[in-house]
Amino acid sequence: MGHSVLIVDDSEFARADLKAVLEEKGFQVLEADTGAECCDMVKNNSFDAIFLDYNMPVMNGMDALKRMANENSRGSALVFMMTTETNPDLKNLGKQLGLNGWIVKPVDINQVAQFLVQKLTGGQVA
Amino acid sequence: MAEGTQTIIASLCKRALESTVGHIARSSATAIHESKPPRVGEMPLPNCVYALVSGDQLKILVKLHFSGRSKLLLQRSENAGNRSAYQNETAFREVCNVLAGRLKSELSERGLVLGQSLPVAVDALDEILNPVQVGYSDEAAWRIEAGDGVVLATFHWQVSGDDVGQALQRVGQSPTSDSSGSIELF
Repeated sequence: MGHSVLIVDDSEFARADLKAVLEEKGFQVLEADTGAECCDMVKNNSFDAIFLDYNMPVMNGMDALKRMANENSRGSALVFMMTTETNPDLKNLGKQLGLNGWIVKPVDINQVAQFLVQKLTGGQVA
Repeated sequence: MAEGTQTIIASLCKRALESTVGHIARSSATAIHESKPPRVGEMPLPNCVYALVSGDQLKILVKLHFSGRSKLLLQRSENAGNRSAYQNETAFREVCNVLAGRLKSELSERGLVLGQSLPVAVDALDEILNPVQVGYSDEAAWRIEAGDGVVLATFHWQVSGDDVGQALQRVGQSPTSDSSGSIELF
């Protein structure tokens, strides 16, 4: 069974694009379009990795990360912020909240998918 | 506004555009050429998405004009070869969102605190009835060759007060490293 990934982004296109590439590599992919939906989904599903957009309406990625930390609900999932933001203070806050990495948009999603394969499988297909 | 400030803002807009297109465009041709901005109310291409990057002293309107033939991104999911107008608009909203975000980050790295709106799509009639760029004193535009079509990226900005100019002049146009596309592990 493939590794499971949650993509959290308010952009339908961004989710669909990354999802298609990850599925090609054998990942099982679910989507959420808000931080709040992400927090609900992690309670009922186990994920190996979560890609979190930062700028989202209602609840941004950092607030979702905080809530998952407070509720201790993310399990063993690796969580990566995927955003155009480069503010060092935000990165530090993310680190304190247990974030595993910071991916700066715009990004080549093939590179992101390859990175995840390496991270989760050591280079084997998912 | 001082000539230097205008030049620096234009160069930051271009840098954000090149970074965005360079990293995420997957069409066959993505050459970028300087172009003339459209006049107020003029719709150079049938569709448009825009976003606002703004703070107390600086507002930048980021607009992408495109047509059904302008395909900057390939849709990897269903109907890859037959993308609907809705899918194309969704793709350009994402490009505009990333472009505005990249510009906001460029300015933030120079000490300017700015917010960013969600991208908004308008059609030709909306654009003529509601020329959103009214009141912006300076502008720049670039034409992007995208697949069979073209995309026109326009930036309109308004600076109030001297602090913005001073902040930009202080840092100047010295290129900071482009962090887009980077993956930093903690």
